[in-house]
Order: sequence, then C-alpha cells, then structure tokens
Amino acid sequence: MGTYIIRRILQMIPVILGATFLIFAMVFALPGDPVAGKCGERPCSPAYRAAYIQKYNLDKPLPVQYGKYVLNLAKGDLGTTSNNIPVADQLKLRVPVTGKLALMAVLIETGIGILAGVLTGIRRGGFLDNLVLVSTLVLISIPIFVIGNLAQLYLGTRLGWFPVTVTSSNPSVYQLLLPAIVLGSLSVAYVSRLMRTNLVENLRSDYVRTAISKGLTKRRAYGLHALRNSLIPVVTFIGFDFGALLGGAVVTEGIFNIPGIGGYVFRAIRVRDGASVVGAVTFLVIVYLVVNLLVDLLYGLLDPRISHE
Amino acid sequence: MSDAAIAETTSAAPTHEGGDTGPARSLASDAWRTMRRSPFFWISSALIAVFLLMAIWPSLFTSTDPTQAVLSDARVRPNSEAWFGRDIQGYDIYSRCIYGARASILVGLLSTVLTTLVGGTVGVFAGYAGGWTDTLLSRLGDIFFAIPLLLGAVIVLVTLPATDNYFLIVLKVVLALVVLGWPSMARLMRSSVIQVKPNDYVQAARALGASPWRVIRSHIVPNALAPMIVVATINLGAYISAEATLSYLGIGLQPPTVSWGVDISAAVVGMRTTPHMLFFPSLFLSLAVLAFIMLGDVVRDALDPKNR
Repeated sequence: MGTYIIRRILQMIPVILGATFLIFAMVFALPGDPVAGKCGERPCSPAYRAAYIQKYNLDKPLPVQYGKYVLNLAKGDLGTTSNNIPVADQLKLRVPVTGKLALMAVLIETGIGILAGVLTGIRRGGFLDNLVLVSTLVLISIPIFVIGNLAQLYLGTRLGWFPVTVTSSNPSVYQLLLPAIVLGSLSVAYVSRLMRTNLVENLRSDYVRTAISKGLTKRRAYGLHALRNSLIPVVTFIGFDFGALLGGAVVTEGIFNIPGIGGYVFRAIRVRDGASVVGAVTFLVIVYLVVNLLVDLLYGLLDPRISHE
Repeated sequence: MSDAAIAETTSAAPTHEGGDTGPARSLASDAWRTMRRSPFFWISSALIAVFLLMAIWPSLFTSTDPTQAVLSDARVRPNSEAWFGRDIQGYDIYSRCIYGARASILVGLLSTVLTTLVGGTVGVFAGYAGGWTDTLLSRLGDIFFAIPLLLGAVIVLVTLPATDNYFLIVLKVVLALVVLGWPSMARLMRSSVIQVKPNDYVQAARALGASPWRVIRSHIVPNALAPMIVVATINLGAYISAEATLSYLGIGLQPPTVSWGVDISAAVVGMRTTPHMLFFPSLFLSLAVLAFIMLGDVVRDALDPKNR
C-alpha cells in the first residue's frame, strides 16, 4: 500500500510539470505587450515595465522563465497577482468557498443519483424507470447556464425559497444550497444512469443468483452484494466529477455571485494576470490528481479483489 | 424476468426468417435491427436531420435575414409576423434560431471528428505498442486531461489571435475543445484495443505474417470501435453545449456571429421581462443536444451484446 501510494505520487510529478508548463507557455508567451492593461487607461511607465519584466524574467527564454517559476513553486511560492497580492492568499480566500460548493454538489448528486439509480435498476422497465430515464435525458440536454438562470429566477426571485445571490465572502450552507443543486443537477443525471446500468448488469450475475439461492433475503443480496459491486464505476465518476466541479463552476459562480476559484481564474485570464492563472490552475490540477488517487484507494475497500499491494 | 424473455424469443422466432440458424449477421447489421425498432432512434434521427438541414441550408426554413434589425419592434412578444418575437436589437428570433444552428452543428461535428481521429490514433498506438510508448502517451494524455476543460478552453481561446472570419472563429473554438478533449477518447480506445489484442484472431493474423498496420486496420480497429462510436455521439451533444457555454461567457463566438449561445447570453439580462428571448434559443440548443445524446443512448444499447 505504502509503495503504491509513493509510486503514484511520483507519477504525478511529470503530469503536474507538464500541465503547468502548458498553461505557463500559453499565458506568458502570448504575443503582444505583457503589461498591456496593467496600469488602467494610460500606458505603463518605463520603470513599471522594466520592473515587471525583471520580476517575471520576461527578457529570458521561455524555459528559463518556467524553470524559475517551478523553483519558486517547489518552495511553496505561487507568485503574486498583478495587484501585488500573493496568489496563495487569494486561493486561501476562495478555495474554501468553491470547495464547500463542490462538496455540497457532490453530496447532492451522490444521494439523489444513487437512490434514483437503485430504485430504477431494481424495477427495470417500470413507470419510475422510464420517468427517470426521460427526465435525466432532459436534464443532461439543458445547458447549465440556462438551468442556473431559470432556477435563480423561479426558485430565488419569484418563489423566494432560496437566497437569490450570495452576499458574503464566507457563504453559509443555505446560501450555497441552490447553486449546489444547479451545479450537481447534470451529475445527478449521470450518476443515476451509471448506477442503474451497473446495477442491472450485476443483478443478472451469477453471484447474486447464488446469494439468493442460498437463502439470503433479496434486500441483503442486492444491498450487500450487487450494490457494493455496482458502486465502483460510480465512485470513479464522482471522484472525477469533484475535480471537474472545482474548476468548472465558473458559470454557476458567475450567476449566483459566489466569490470562488472558477470566477477568479476566469477574471485573471481576461485581464492577463498570468501568475494568478498559472497558480490557480496548478492548484486545481494537483487537487484533481490527489482526488483520483483517493478514488483508486477506495476501490480496495469496495472490492477486496482489487489490492494495491 | 428470464421466463418472460424466453417466452418472447420463442414466440418471436417463427417470424424471423432463418432465426439463429441463418447466415451469421455482423455486429453492425445486428445493431441496425435493434435500433430500427426503437422509437427513440427515429425521433433523434429526425431531429438531427432537421438540424443538419438547418445548418446547411437555413434559407429553406426562413426568408428573414437574421441580422436585419427592426428597432421599432425591439423585444416584441411572439406574434403572427415574428413567430418567436424579436430580441433587444429587433432581430427576428425565429430566423436567428434557424441560422444559429450552423455554428453549433459545425463546432459539434468538427470537434467530435477531430477528437475521435486524434484520440483514436493515439489510443490505438498506445494500446497496440504497449511498453514505454504506452507509458509516454498515457502520461501525455494525463497532462491534458488534468486541466479543467472550461478554464483550459478559455485560456486557449484568449491565447489564439483575435479574428473576424466566421470559420476561423469556429475553428478556434473547435481547437480549444480538441486540445483538451482528445485524452478521454485516447483512454477509451486504448482500453478497448488492449481488450481486443489478446484475441485468437489477432494472434492468428500475426502468426500468418500480417504486418502490424494490417493487423490494426482489419482486425483491431473494427473490433475496438464500438465504445468509441457511442461516446463520440454523446460527446457531439456535449461539445455543442460546451460551445454555447463558452459563447455565454463571452469567450467563444462573438456577437456579429449568429449562434444560440450568443443569443442566450444576450437574453439572460432581460430574462424577467422578456422570457421569450431566452426560451427559444435555449429550446433549440437543448433539442440539438438531446438529439445527439439520445442517439448515443440508442446506439449503445444496440451495440451492447449484454442487452440481448
């Protein structure tokens, strides 16, 4: 187990380096003036320009620039934004918000998705099955920015069940509830379909038939044997999704005015604040890889046949 | 359940000419037989046909110019003259919905074809060659896969030089989606190639002296293609949705271009007072995504031997 984890962490290093280099090259090697728009409406003073170029080694070739950046990264220094605020401080403010939102979305999708998948998988072909199949299809088809705006208008403004926008930099669970439902809605559809397909497949398998024929109750045979084995692809998806939700909440964060990491990166890209973009994306990549490692370790718990020895 | 299935096959058997004893059917013709019976297949195919026609030949559906602004009629509700009403610029929404199909369908088709080609080639190569080639290509895929899709696409789009040409703008969006989308296709293809490779017929072909190129072309690829076709069809819908999201964020297609995403983005502001401006482009967009995802579902069920 220990060696497996160490090997996996070592494998992460080239992926992190590659991903940061890609982003770094795209953001810093852009044609055009590197300080354009950094000083508001007027052009930047030569002194500012010289200091900026000096700071980010823009007069050196790209590999040197990147090498220096990675050395700083290894020391835990993510650089500073164009307003001279450390990127790490910005992330510390925003990551908890997006993390909370993504976690709530994952909890919602797991709960509702698995429940719907199990209910439809057990009674395949019934009314509920068809209802869930059609409604998930519709849910997958509607883009998230339409769902988000409609939910905000009807559930937030018209009915007043939820707060319309988030008003604090440290929002409460209640304030984030509607955004989390919107963010998780697409994944609810995927989770329930994945759960249903796998459960249907496993219910027909030999070991479930054996379990029932040796006298186990249906509840126990389904719940203990079929369900546990069907969960593996679902857990894989949820793990992947958590990483995707952290970085992909740009639209939802925009609609509900949530001060999260997606909106931060998006704004940073628009104003060409390179250090913020590279720093935040690096962070997202690392989180994604770590979550994937955790998911792989979870397999061992769900299926004893999979071992990481 | 199995009793019912058996009863169904026995009662259905006489109507089949030949049944199981007849000439062997290929997977494709088998799948076609299954699909033909599904109403979802016909609904989605009809929708896709209509959208394709809309993209190729929009003047077939409307004679109104989508960029003709009638400012005096701005934001009117649906009426007999403008069926879907007019938007804030006085554009005819029906006409814009028809003309908007082209951008979405182009982005969807091109992104799907390119991710399938790039990802498929890399996947076949990695799965067939194995060893360090596989390790290298897989890690390379991991690099692109680890970057969040939406943010990565935004970075690519901002990096590429600005342009006014319609097709170049569309190509920029396609490129952004392909650069970040190919690894998932490569992973899929790699795993199915690895499943197909140890089969006896592949070993036999190699033993008979077939070149690696011939083995891949006539034995590996045809047998490993099914999962890829399913995911490609579903992805087509997903890419259309992604294009609209990028346009909604103001990064993808830009306002002079007629596109559902651009129109939705403009309509969100006035959602409370003029919901029709939001409703119709959203409806068209959702129907297009729905059609491809539904078709992918049907194809998957038809290609999956476990469903029989």
